[in-house]
Amino acid sequence: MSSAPLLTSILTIVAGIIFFFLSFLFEWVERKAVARIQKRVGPYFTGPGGIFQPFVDFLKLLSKTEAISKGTELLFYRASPIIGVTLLTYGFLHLPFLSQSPVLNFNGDLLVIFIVFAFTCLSYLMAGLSLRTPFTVVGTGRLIVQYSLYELIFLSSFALIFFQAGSATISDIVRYQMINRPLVLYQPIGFIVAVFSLLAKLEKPPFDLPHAKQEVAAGWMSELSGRTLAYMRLIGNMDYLFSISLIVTLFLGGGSGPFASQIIVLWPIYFLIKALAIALVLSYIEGVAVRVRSILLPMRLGIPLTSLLVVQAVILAIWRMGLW
Amino acid sequence: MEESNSIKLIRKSPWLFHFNSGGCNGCDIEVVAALTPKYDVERLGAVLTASPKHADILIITGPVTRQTAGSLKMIYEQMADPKIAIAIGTCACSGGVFRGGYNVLGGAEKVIKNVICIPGCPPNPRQIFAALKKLYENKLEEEKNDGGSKLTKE
Ligand code: SF4
Repeated sequence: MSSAPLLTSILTIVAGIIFFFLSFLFEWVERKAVARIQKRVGPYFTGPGGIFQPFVDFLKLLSKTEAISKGTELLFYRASPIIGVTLLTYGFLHLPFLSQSPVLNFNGDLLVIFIVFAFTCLSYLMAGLSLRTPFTVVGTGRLIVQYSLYELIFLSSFALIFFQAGSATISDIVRYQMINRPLVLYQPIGFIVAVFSLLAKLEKPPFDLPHAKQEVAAGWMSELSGRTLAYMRLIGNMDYLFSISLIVTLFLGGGSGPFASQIIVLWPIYFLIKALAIALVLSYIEGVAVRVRSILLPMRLGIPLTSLLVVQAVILAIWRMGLW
Repeated sequence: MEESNSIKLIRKSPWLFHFNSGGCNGCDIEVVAALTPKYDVERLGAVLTASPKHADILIITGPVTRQTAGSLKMIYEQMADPKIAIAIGTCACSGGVFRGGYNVLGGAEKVIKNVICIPGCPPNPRQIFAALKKLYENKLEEEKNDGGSKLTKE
């Protein structure tokens, strides 16, 4: 038993490093896919197929000086990247990426996800409002509206999973899916709603109002530069990867698949394949979508998505009643 | 010229901020064309940023007028060091057809020291891509010494 903490710490470090580098890989996949859809090439010269481009971007921003304007709240400005990166990495440790059992787990750890998302949002707000210019204030305002609306929908779709699997522990939900079938087959509407609201949550087109280009400069990111910008972009990438991994875990049965229980190495590979598939679907929507012009539209879309979730809940309830 | 690590990295990931200091819009269209499928400067890792604080390279099109000189200076000062300025089009290089106008100060060099100039009215997007590619490969300096090349540092 004495080796358990040591093993956990080693796994924590390994998973943290994997999470860090995978988030760059996913940015590359996204940029490449969107470029392909728009008949462009995307990053090409830096590394094979431009695969190192996001990482070079990150290093470049780290090496640049910061242009901090007068009147910046330095506490908020400095604390926001730390909160975001730490909490997201901590959240990732609760997902079964390396093997069937996550690195960290306790009873009811689905609730950790709620905290992680709340704090990620908080770090965006802190960074955005550390200097209050018209651009950042408008951008952060839009962010708050959009985030609070869509994150609610995103997390509500997890409530239905809790309802079906009867457990708020991530490893139990994965086990449930391995015994039965992946939850996407039981709750297809919930899955679609989750994927769609994910786009809004991550401020991707057609929901990129918080930093709609030219309209409000770069939105809440306008005043960030150098290191802080590098880390805020990293948080964005990590948020992307984390949310995708969450959908893979909760709807697609994690890394389960043929022979996954016999050959252990297949688990992360299956997990990665499923995550990449979702990333490609998201990139496709991103690539073909035009930004919605009015702020009202994304807000109005909230009502149809919510009603879809209600429909899913009713179907689920009837199905469960029938079973009992 | 000795270059810091940061400059080396900037060459590999040049983020652009586009500023029209009073041109006729011809050059702006060519800058946008450089982002489209045929030329796609994103191959070099270049993206168009929305805030000067994120950018490494300031792209200036059009002559500097009395009214925009202040804004141009302010935007350039807001960019985080190290930074590069590229003047696209004859106007931004020297004032072009507008030179000598009552409201025109001249090229971007009137406001910013050390500008890389890409002349042409307007320059072909291929020239814009070529300039960024040369920057990427760090061949810009050699070109300058050759004399008679398209890329000159005025
Ligand atoms: S260089 Fe020619 S195309 Fe460009 S702004 Fe001047 S006049 Fe217009």
